[in-house]
Order: sequence, then structure tokens, then C-alpha cells
Amino acid sequence: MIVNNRILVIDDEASIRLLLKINLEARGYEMIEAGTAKAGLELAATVHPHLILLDLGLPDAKGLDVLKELRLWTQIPVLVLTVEDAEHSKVELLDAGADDYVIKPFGLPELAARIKVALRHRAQDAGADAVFESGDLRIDLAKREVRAQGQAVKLTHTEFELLRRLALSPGRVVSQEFLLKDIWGKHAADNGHYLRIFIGHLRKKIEADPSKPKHIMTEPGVGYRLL
Amino acid sequence: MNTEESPFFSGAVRYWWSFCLITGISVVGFALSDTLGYRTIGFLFLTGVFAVGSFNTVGPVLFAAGLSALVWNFVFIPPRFTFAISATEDLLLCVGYFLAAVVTGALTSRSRQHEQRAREREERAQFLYEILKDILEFSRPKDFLSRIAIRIEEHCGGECVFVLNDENPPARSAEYQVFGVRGRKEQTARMFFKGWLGADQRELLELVCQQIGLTLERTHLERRLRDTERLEESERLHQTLFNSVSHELRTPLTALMGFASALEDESASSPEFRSKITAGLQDAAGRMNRVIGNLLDMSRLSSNAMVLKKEWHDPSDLIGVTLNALNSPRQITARVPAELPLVEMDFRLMEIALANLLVNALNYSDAPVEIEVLAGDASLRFAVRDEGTGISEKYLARIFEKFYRVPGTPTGGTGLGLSIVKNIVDLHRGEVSVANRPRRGAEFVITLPLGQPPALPEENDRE
Repeated sequence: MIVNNRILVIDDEASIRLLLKINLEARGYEMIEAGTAKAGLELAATVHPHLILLDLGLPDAKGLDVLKELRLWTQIPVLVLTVEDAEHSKVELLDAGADDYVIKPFGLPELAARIKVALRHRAQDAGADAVFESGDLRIDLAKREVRAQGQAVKLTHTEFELLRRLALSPGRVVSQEFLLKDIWGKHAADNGHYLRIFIGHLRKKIEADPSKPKHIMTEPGVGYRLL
Repeated sequence: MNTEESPFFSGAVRYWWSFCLITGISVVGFALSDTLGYRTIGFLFLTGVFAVGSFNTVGPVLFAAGLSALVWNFVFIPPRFTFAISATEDLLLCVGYFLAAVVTGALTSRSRQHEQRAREREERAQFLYEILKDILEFSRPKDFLSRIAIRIEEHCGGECVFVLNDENPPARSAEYQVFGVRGRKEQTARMFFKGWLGADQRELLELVCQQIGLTLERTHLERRLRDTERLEESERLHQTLFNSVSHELRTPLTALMGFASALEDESASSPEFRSKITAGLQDAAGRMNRVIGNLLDMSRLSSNAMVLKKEWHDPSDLIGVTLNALNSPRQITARVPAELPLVEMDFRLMEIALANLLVNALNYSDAPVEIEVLAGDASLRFAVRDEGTGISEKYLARIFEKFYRVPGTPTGGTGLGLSIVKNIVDLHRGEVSVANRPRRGAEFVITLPLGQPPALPEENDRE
């Protein structure tokens, strides 16, 4: 079995690189670092990392351009580190091919969880798991069966389709626009309230406390994430 | 158009016209003198004098009256071709004719002049009215000035340019007449006019310039006042930023540095001590993050570029996201009804508002905090309650003011949190209120109006 543990960090801030090095190595990853976009792109092509942590505020190039350049030739998972907490820029990042983003300041446990999800997702890409299991939630995609808190849950067609799309990218943000277009058709892209209503229905059926969801997490203005 | 200044009717030309008319009548009268009596011809002359009167001032009328009296006497009144008059009655007639011609001609001329003045006044009033309308319609001076310049060109004929104080005059400015555009105190612009102007038009343009001058002065004063206010506010914001950086950020920073060096200490290696240190580090870092967040939110809200992104959202989702992002180790009870209507709001801003209320409640007491959502017929309420000491009644009224901090409260805030809440709720046309609870603690309530949510797609294929 190949161990997917080589992470390339592209960040100009030496203290952040040090912090990441200590924490990532403690978690069993191998970290390679680059302080500039140029060095980062070179390393990405030569050392074959399994995941790239890309800081958006690089001195020699825009992070978004680096991301686009990477996406020209590789599908390595890219996690973006950004201070920008605006919705549109998050959507922009996902559109440009980022697998996920982490807003600075971030907690290390959160970052570690995102890294794990991104790496696992790549490993699973070939044959997506037919079953999603997380805590008290179990989704059997092939049999279209959902169980929550030990009980079988009856979902409507739309509810299941929505849940299925989230379960296909476990732990990753699935964008609102994608869900709307994929489920209700192209004309529905602006009808965000469809999604909010059905997410509400789903939460009532699968969450122990719908107002404190543990599975279907909202990323305001961006989309939803199934944990 | 103003006929008095028009060259067609000016000066000697008027007399020339009167002369021609009387001569014409004489020729016609002479031709008809066999069939018409000389008295009838007198009436023809009188009509001619009236005609002159209705186009002219007093001078040409007198001239026409005198000339026609002489011609009538010389050519038509017997004995003809002499100035002598044989019959006494004809003499009286001729004198009477002259007087009647002068008086009626002069009267006609005067009433015509009255009429003309009235028309001119009306035109002027209309012109000024249009200009006032332009001033009101366009808020930017550059816009209404160019519009007014066009109006003046149409009205007076010629070329008109307004030049503000900080602008360059038109090329070859020596060919222009210059009018100062001034208000009560200062000249704000100049008007350059190339073309012929009568005294009335000049007076009118001076009036227009005066009006524009007053308007420009007023907008300048208003802008200066606004700038001053904004400057004062931004100075206060800077002062707060400065205070925040020096105090609110340095305090947690001191804690961070202290805890970091404590980690180096050998004696700090016990697990119990280490967990205290990490808790302290996280607490201090969280505090710094909050202060920075508040300052950023406030500067974003006070910039005019702020655009509200209102969409229909699930209030319980808002509670979930807010509590999740807050990630407080303290117990926060959420009472959220299962069925809630969608509310039109900017999700991110409302998240900030609720988080600020919750952080506030958590900061000012160690007791449990709860948040409750209550749906009414026309509004939705978010109530945040704590069981702290409450807020002294005399401070309640000022609590949402920017930079206001209740005296004697613990440090760690910028005095911005609640004013951010108010700002956001105002943007949503909602209300935020605060009251002390009957037994203990305070309650903050955000009320948002409920609208008519958009329709949902049909879903009939159940599985």
C-alpha cells in the first residue's frame, strides 16, 4: 500500500511553515516547503507531493494564478490557506479547482481534518464508496437506504438526491450552485431558498438536534459539507 | 425674443418704417381721392398711425401722427396742395385728427409695451424656473452647469461655458464676457459668454449666476460639513483602533508571550500545568481574533461600499452556523422551534450580529447563556439571554452607541460589538432592544420583519 503522506506547503511566512512542519510531522506527514510561488510550482512538478497547502498571499504571484497553473497539469489535491473570508472569493477558489480552503487564523485540528478528507477523497476517487458512515449516520448509496440514530429514515426523492450528492464528496464543500443546477436544473441556480428548505427537511430527519447539526454543515454563501 | 434690442426694429429704422407706411397710405389715398372723401382718407391715416403704435415706441408714433396730419392737410383737405384750410370745421377736424392720432397711437404703443414686458417677465421667470429645476435635478454641479450653459446658449444665442474655480478658462478667453458666479461669501466659479447681450439679458444672466453661486456655495458648505463629520468619526475610529491595538491587543499578546515562555520552563512540564497553559494560549488568541474581527466588521460596515446580500434563509440554520463558528466551550442553550419560516437576510451579517450578542453575554457573566427564536405573525425574534448582573438602567439607552462602553465592565472589548449589531439590524429594517430580565441578567432581542417567501418547487414523487 502506498502511503500518501507527502505534503508541499507553499507559504512565504516562515513562522507558519515552522508551525505546520511541527504539527504535520507530529501527525506522520512528510512536509516539503516553498517560500515563493516559483519554488512551489517547481517542487510540485519534481517531488510529486500528495497534497499541496497553498497560501493565497504570496509575494511573487497571486495564489489564485498559482492554483490555476497547477490545475493545467495536475489534479493533486490543493488546500488553500487564506485570510480572505468573503464568500465570493471562496466560490472563486472552488471554481478554480481548489479542493478546500481554510481561513486564517485556523486551528490545527481543523486543518488536519481537512487534509485527511482531501487525501482520502483522492484515494477513493477511483471507486467511490457505496456506503457513507459517520457517527450515528449511515447512508447506503446503492440501496438508497439511510439510517440515523439507529433508525431507518424515509427520505423523499429530492431529499435523497441532495444527500447523495453530499455523500459522494464526504467532508468536502459541495457548492450551492452545483447542487441547485444538478437537482433542479440550470434555471434554478438563483433559487437558493429551495436548497435551504430541503436542507432543513434533511436535518430534521437525520440530525439529533437540527439546530446544532453534526452532519450537514452549512458553509455560508458557499455550500454544504457532509461530515 | 426681445424686440426692443432686435436690429430690425431699432433706432432710425422704426422712423423709416413709419415714413413708408404713411407714404403708402398717401399714395393709395391719392389714387382713390376721387371716389373717397378727404374725411374718409383721414380715417385711413388714423388706422396707419394705430398700426405704427402697435409696433413702436412713442417717438415713431408722434412722427407718424405729425407726418400724416401734414400730408392729409397738404394733399387732401381743400384747398388741396396748400397748407391752408378754408373751412373752420376742417381746421378743427385736422387738429382733432392730430390729437386723436397722437393719443391713441401712444396708448396703443404703451399697451403693447406693457404686454411685451409681461411676456418678457414671463419668459424670464420660465427661464429661471428651468434653471432652478436643473439645479435640483442634478446633484453634481458639473452636470447642472453644463445643462444650464446649454439653456443660456438657447436663450441668448452665443457660446456659454461655466468654469469652476479649480478649472482652466476656455481657450482665447479674451473674446468672452466674464460673469462671476458668487454666493454670499465666495466666488465658486466663472461664466464665460461669447456673443451679443442686451442690458436685460445681461441682468438676467447676472441673476442666474447669483442663483448658481448660492447653490454651489451651499453644496460646498454641506460637503465640507459632511467631510468634517466623517473626519471626526474616522478620527474616533482611528483613536479606538489605536487604543485597541495598544491595549486590547497587547493584553492578550502579553498572555501569549507569557504562556509561550512558560512552556520553556522546566517546572511547567506537568500535564495539569500544560493544559492550563494551552487553555490560556487559546483564550488569549481567541480574544485577539475577536478584537480584530470587530474592527474589520466595523470598518466594513461604515464604508459606503457595503452591499447587503439579502436572500431567503432558514433561521435555525443561522443559529447552527453561529454556534458552530463560535465554538464556545461554555454551555449555550438554543431554543429553536421545529417549524420556522424563511427570513430574508444577509446570512453573514446576521451571523456576525448574533455572534456579537452571544460573545457579549458570555463575556459579561459566567452564568449560562441561551438563545431563543420566536416566530410571530409579522416578525421573527432572536432573544439572547444571560444570567449575569444585568445592566444599570441609566446605561441602557446608550449601549448601542458606537464606542460606548458601560463604565465598570471588564476589558476585552472595543465598544464596537453592540453598535455593529445595531448597524446590521438597521440594514435589515429590523430592531434591536435590550432590557434587564425580571430576576437577573439581561435580554437582547433582535426583531426582523417577516416577508412573503418565494414559492417552492413541487415535490410529488415520494419514495
